Amino acid sequence: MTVLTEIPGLSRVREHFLDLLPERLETIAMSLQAASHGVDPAQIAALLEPADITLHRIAGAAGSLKLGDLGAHARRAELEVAAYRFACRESDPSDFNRVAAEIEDFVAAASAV
Amino acid sequence: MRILAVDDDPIILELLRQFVESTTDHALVTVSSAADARSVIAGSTDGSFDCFLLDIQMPETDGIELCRHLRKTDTNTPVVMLTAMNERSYIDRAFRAGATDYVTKPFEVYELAARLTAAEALVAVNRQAATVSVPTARKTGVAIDHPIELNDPLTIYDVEGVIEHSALENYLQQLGRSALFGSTAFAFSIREIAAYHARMSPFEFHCMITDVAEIMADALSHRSALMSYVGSGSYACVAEKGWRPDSKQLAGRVNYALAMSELYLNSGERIEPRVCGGDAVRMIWRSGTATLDALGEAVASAERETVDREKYLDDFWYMGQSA
Repeated sequence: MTVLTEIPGLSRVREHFLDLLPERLETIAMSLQAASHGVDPAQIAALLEPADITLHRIAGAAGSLKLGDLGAHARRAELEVAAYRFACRESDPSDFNRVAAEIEDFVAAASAV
Repeated sequence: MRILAVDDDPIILELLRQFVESTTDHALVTVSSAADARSVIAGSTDGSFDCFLLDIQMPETDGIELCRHLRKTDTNTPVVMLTAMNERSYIDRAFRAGATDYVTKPFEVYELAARLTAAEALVAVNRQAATVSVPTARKTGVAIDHPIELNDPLTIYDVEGVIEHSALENYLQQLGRSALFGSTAFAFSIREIAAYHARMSPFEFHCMITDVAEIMADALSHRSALMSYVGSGSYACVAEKGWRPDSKQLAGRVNYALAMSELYLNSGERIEPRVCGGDAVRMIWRSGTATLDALGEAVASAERETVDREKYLDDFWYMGQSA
């Protein structure tokens, strides 16, 4: 009996994922930059949405493409951003620098993949 | 199977296409939003879908809302949530909305293969079982004429908080040890179920099982609990958020509501089903198949209670006669 451990053609999907990665990292960086100029918590939460969505997508797919470390890092950053956006919506945001550092750290690490 | 996958990430859709096309005989249709899914389903000319794979976090309508929408018209087709959301609140909401299974991203290929095999088995069971559901039969007067075995885990339609038994098992296995902290399994069993089964038509039996489930769900409505019909007159329940149910007291409430209800057979004869509650079993520190063992212990306890109760009543009447 053959035990299926990897999807045939997985490398092709992984290549596509890696081709898309720079564009996605750009989206995350732009979102962070825009949020850094936000004037109130509600606006900052809205401006961080593209970063949140993109991190969520990377976290969801990377692990299945044998890029587990990248996926786990994206998940940590996603949770940080999601928690910060929630706090913004509750008008009780924590330190923006902390979430910014988490995103920047992820973008730097992912750029090296 | 003909599968519809809904995900807003093109990479996940590509991964699913690659997996399905290269390792299975299934046909896969992919769309990137709930709105597109509704259009594809509405415009489907070559038969409906046999299985849905739904992402949760999507713009506009999320996957849980889409699942709830699908269940309004389609109560049987397996819905597998395929999502990165692994928090308990999402798992609870998805199963309450009618999901039959839940796979967290990132997923391993063998895991996805196993879940699709389980969905395929469910499709086969559904095809063999009811072609007419109880609500449809009640509305249209069309009788259910296929046989129902006593131990069949019947699907109960349109009762809030009641899901298929296979879905309840998937739900428990999806929750990790820590998420099961504060969860308790308990069960109810209908007394003299074999006698009811022997004298009722399949439609009447399914109606009684549904009516009793509705009364139980009503008794649990102010609590956070999920319930399923296991078969043989037994209902398994999982209480959440630290609630330790007194199932015997609950059984008393259910029996009172049953006594107040007027349930009749097609012949006009009134039936008066009664239930027994078993011991509550805490799920703490259980995981995987051990959670299913806890559910089994709860059901066995309720079934023992019905046997003891029937024996007690037999002895009572026997002693009464001889006194």
